[in-house]
Amino acid sequence: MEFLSKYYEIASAVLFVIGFATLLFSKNLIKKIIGFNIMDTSVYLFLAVKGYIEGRKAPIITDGVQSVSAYINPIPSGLVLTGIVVSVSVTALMLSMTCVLYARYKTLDLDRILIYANKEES
Amino acid sequence: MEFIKNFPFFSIMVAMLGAVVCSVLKGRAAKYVSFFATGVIFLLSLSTLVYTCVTESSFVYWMGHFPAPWGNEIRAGQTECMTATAFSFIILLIIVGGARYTERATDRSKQNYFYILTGLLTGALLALVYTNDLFTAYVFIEINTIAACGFIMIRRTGKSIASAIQYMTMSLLGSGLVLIGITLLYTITGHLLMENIHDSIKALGASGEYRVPLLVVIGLITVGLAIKSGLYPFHMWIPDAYSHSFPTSSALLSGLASKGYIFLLIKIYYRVIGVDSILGSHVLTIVFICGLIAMLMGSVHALGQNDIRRMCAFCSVSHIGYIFMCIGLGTEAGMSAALLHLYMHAFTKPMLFLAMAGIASVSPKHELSAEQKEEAKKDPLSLESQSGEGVFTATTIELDAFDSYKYKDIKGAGKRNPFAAFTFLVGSFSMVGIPLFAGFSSKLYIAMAATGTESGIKFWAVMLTLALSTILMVGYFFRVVIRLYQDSDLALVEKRNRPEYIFSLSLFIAANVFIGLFSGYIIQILESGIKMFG
Repeated sequence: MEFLSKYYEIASAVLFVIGFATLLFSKNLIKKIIGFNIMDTSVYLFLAVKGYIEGRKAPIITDGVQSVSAYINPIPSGLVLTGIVVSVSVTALMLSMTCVLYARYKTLDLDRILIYANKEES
Repeated sequence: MEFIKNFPFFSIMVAMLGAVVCSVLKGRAAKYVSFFATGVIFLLSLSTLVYTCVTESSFVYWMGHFPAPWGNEIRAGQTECMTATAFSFIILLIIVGGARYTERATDRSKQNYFYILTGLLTGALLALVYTNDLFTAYVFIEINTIAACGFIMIRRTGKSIASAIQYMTMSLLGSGLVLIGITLLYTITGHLLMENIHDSIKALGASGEYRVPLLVVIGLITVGLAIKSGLYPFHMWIPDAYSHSFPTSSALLSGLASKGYIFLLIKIYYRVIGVDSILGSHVLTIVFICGLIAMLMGSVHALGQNDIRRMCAFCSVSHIGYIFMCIGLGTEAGMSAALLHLYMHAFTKPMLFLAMAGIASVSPKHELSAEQKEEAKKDPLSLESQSGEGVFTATTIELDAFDSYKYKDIKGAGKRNPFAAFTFLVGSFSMVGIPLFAGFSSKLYIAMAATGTESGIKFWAVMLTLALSTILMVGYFFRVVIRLYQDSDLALVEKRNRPEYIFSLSLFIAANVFIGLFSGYIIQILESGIKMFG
C-alpha cells in the first residue's frame, strides 16, 4: 500500500486527466479554459511536491545557517513560477478570444460558433 | 573569433527587441524595423554557420557566463545554424513579399501588430532551434504558439477567430503533454540542461532503472510536439488555420511556425534521450506509421478541395507526414533527409501561399450583396465599436470578398497575372518532385534513407507510399496548374505586381533551385551536424 501514500502525486495525475479531458471534450469555451488551467496547475502541484523535502526550508539564509542540508532546491519553485506566468498569458489570450466570439455570436458553444461562422463565409 | 559565439544569443535578442520596438511604432516604420532586425538576424546566423562549418565544431554558450547548474545555455552547431539561417531568410522574404497583403488586411493604425508578432515568432523559432535547456524550450514553445495564434486571428473575422481558438485548444493539449513530459524527466534525472540529462539517462539505462517512466516521457514529448506540428490524427486545425488567415500570415504559419517544434523534437531525440534509447522504445515505429498515413490522407483530402488555399493546407498535412516518416526511420540518413525536406517545405509553401494571393487578386470580382455590406459595417467583432472609440471598418471583409481562391474562379489567371502563376507552377513542380527543384532532391534523399533501413517492410512501405502520394500530388497540383492556363472569357487586363513582390518571389524560386541543385552540400553539413549532436 506504499503506492497510496503518494497522495500528492496521485492527486496531480487525476487533476491532469480531468483538465486534459475538459480541454479536449468540452464544447463550452469557458470550460475549456478552466480545463486548461486545471491541467497546468496539476503539473505545478507535481513540481512543487517533488521539489519539497520534509523538514527543510526555502533557500533564504536565516540565523546564519549555511548548510546545504537545511534548504530545498529553489529550481522547482522557480519553474513553477515561470510556468504560472506562461499559463496566465495563454489564459488571457484565450479569454480575450472568447469575449470577441461571444460578442459576435452570443454563444459559448464552440460547435455552434463554427456552424455560424461557416455560414457567414459561404 | 571568440566574439562570434555571442551571435546566436544576439540574434534571439534582436528579434525580441525588434518586436518590442515595433509596439510603439506606426505601420510603415514598424515594417522597416522588422525588416532590418530580420536582416541582421540573417547575417548573424549566416556568419555563425560559416564559422561552424569552417571550424567543423559546435559550441555551447553560457548565458551571462554562469556555468552549468546555475546558468542557461545555448548550443550552436552546423545543424542549428543552418536552420536558423534558413528560417530568418524565409521570414525576411515573407515580410518583403507579403507587405502589400499585410497593409490590406489590417487597419492602418494596427499594422505594427503584425510586425510585433513576426518578431516574437522569429525570436521563439530561433530560441527553439538554439536552446540547450528543456524548460526554456517549453517557454518558447508557448511563445511560438501565442504568436501563431495571433497570426491566425489578425484578420478578425468570426471564422478566423474561431479557427484561432481551435488551433489554441489543440496546441495547449500538446504543450500540456510536453510540460508534464519535461517535468517527469526533471524529477527522474534532476537536470534541465540537455547534456546533463543525457548523461544521467545513460547511467539509468546501464542500471536498468526507471525504464517505464522514461518510455512514458518519450511518448509524452513526442505526442505533444506531434500535436503541435500537426501530424495526421491531430491535423484538424491546419486547414482552417491556414485558409482563414491572410496570405502573409498563412505563409509564415505554414512555412515556419510548425517547423520549430519538429526541429526541437529531433534535437531532443539526439541530445536528450539518445538514439539508442529511442530505438529501443517503439515510439519511432508509431511516428513512422502516423507519418505514412499522413502522407496519404493529406493528399487524399487535398484532392477533394475546391479552394486552393485549403488544398495547399492539406498538402502541408501530407508534407508534415513526410518529415515525421523520415524521423521514424530512426537512422542518421533519415534525420538529415527529414531536415532537408523540412527546409524544402519551408521554402516552397510560403512561396505557394504568396503566389496564390497574386492569383486570387486577379480572380473575377464578386460584389458584396447589400446585406453583407450592412453586416460588415456593424461588425460587432470589435469591442471598440461598442464602446464608441474607433470603428472597425468594413475594409477587411470587403477586400477579402474580392479575392477568390475558389477553383472555379482561377481559370485563366495565368494570363492575367503571369508572374504569380509561374511562381505557383515552380512551387507545384517542387512539391511534386520534378528534378531541378528542391522537392526532387529531398524525395531522392528520403528514398535513399529508406534503402538504408534494415527492415524490408519499412523500405517497401516508404517506397510505395512515396510513389502513391506523389501521384496524388500530381493529381491535385496539376489540376490547378492546368486550370490556371486555360482560356477564360474574362477581359485580359494584365496585372502589374509590385516590385518587392516580384523580388521576393524570384528569390524564393532561386532558393528552390539552389536547394535542388546543391542538396549534396546541405546534406553533408546536416550529417556532420547530426553526428555532433550525440
